[in-house]
Amino acid sequence: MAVRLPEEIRPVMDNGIPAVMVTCSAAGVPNTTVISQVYYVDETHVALSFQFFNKTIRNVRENPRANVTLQDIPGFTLWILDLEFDHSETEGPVFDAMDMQIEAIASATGMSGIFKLRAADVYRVLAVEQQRYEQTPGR
Amino acid sequence: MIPGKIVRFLDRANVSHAGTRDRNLVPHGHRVSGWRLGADGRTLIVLLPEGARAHLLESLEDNGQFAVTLEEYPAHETYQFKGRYVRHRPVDGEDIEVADRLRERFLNSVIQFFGESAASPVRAFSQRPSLAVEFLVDEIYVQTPGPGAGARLFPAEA
Repeated sequence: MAVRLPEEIRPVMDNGIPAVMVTCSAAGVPNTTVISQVYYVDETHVALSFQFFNKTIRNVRENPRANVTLQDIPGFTLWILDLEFDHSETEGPVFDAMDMQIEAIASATGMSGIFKLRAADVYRVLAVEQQRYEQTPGR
Repeated sequence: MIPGKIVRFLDRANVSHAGTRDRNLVPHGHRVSGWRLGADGRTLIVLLPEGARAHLLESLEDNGQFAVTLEEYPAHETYQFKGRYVRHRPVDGEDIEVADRLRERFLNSVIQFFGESAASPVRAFSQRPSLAVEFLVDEIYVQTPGPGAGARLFPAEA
């Protein structure tokens, strides 16, 4: 069953800090990767960019579960999403919006010509956890 | 043995994240505070903060599968290490020193772009480790963004 994303997570998705994604193959081998974009689709779905046909993409077609950590470094908070792959879109408003965002991210990170959106992979949100950590002043 | 090129990279990398999976093939992510090469040159010791423990040890003791991505920011040079859990222990003084050095290395890179105001949040983000997980590296993959991403570096592809 899908859960609702809290409103306060939306700015974190747009903060430009890369997220981290973990998937697992059908054979049981985990795979971890940095992702540049987590796109808010609606209250119960996010989309992740499919840019290269890589292990992450193969894994979620075999085993739909994924774990994504969003980093709110100025807010001393992590958001951990448990996701399930739902479907892939290669056109339409979600794809177009992500395509535009990915161009901006590529330009800002010196990756122009390397990042290219092939599809917007839409995931159902199964769980959301907010993890605050100490500011530990003076370290 | 982990190739020399990668051993040298371990001294340049400044940010990392780990992944495990449980008995139901559900993946879990874990923050990483530091890393160092094991004495035998075949294992990596990954240092994790207290907040990274959820699902970690039960997954490792269930199936042993462990994956770690290390990146050098801002160059984006990135590799993923996959392998099998060997053992874990509480961190020692040397581990803490390693994590402190890595935190300052990451901080110096971030400050170049975001200024001194980033120092406090970045120091807090790089939490002090509490647990050291040693794993035997079976495979290393290139993850630097671009067309070469996904290629296996170790063992070399035929």
